Amino acid sequence: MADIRTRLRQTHDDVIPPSDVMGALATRRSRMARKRKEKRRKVIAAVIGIAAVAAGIGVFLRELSRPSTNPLVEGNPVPQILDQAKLAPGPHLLIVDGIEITFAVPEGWRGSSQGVVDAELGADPSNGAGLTFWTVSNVYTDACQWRDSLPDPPVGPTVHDLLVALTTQVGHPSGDRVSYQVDGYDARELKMTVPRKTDMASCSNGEFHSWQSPVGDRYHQGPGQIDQLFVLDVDGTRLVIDASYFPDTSEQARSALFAMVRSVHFM
Amino acid sequence: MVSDQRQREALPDVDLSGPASFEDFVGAEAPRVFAALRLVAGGRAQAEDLLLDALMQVWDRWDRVRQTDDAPGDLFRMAMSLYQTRLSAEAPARAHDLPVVATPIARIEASDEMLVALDHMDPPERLSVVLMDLFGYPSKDVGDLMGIRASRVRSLAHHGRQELRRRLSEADG
Repeated sequence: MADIRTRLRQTHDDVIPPSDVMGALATRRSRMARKRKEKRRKVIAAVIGIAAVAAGIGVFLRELSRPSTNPLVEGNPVPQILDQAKLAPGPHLLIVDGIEITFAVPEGWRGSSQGVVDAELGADPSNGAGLTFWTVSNVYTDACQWRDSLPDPPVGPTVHDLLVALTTQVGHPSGDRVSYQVDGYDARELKMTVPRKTDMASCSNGEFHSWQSPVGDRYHQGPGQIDQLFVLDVDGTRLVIDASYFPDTSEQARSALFAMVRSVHFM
Repeated sequence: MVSDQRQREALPDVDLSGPASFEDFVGAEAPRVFAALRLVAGGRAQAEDLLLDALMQVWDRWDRVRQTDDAPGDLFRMAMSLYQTRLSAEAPARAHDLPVVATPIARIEASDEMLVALDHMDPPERLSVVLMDLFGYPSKDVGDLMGIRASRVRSLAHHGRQELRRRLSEADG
């Protein structure tokens, strides 16, 4: 046992501590305060709403149903990500289905319709990379022969429903589901890979599709593409964060992808 | 003797009841507790998350915690208790870090055979081995934390050590 104890001690002493713990704590605390405030706002709105209905004052209800304001956007110019626009390093805003998301974009990325891609290589084979954000409305049961494979009724609304649909998708293998946290929200992380031997030409329309969203399908850029998905419920809206890359994507680009995921903040 | 007296008189008044501020406490204790959590939790991200959760709880009642005799011990026990709670609630999906190729720290960790072996262990066995063999907790205390009998903890630790030895000998070639 002494050998194990000695090696445990050595490993314990060699662990590299996280940096800026106080900063992370401050962020978590302010997020919790925001959630509590939002919850209070909803409760108050509900109470006032009931009172308004009782009084027959419909105007109040219309006002209450308006989304909360975003002081960061209104008072402070966090630039919004625009498709194809080259992005300066720093925090940027992306709005997906009403969810306002900020994340820190490093040097060398440009906007895409659903997020950001490597400014030089795009998201394409053999070494591109992209980070995109989706609200998924349905999942094809077969990613290659996708055309006639949309389930009816569509996939259910929960994170679990979506994970089940993705992990059972034909032709698109996935790894274990694991827990993760994005900006304090519980997420499930799932890694999916387009098999290297996939003959795209044999797929419907010569394309490989995973899911439908209100803005269009998620189709994949080529065989071997890896999608590291983070699926979470952001205050009632199911969101998918898709960090995609290829086996030949540089380590720098992969690191940048996951640094962006870590920096995600929901407004 | 005279110089000792002068020295003593020159010392400022210091509150010896605990750390001066929560920030000082975090600076002193977070690395140590994180190191323990990193061994126990099976991944860096999980260890960071548990550390932050435990520190949040301490922060919320800092006025009381700072007056206790053993604030660092309270933090340690709280962190381990949080881990055990998650273990009980979650099962069987084993949490892991983001892709191990992504960061320099992950590369360093991947070169530590003990850490790699620990990360692949069954979580209850890992917890038993680390708490008993590294921190010297009696099996009864570990059992109280895990909600199981001391004999079961000893059995878990025994199997855990065997598994660790097997993995380490494989890694050593």
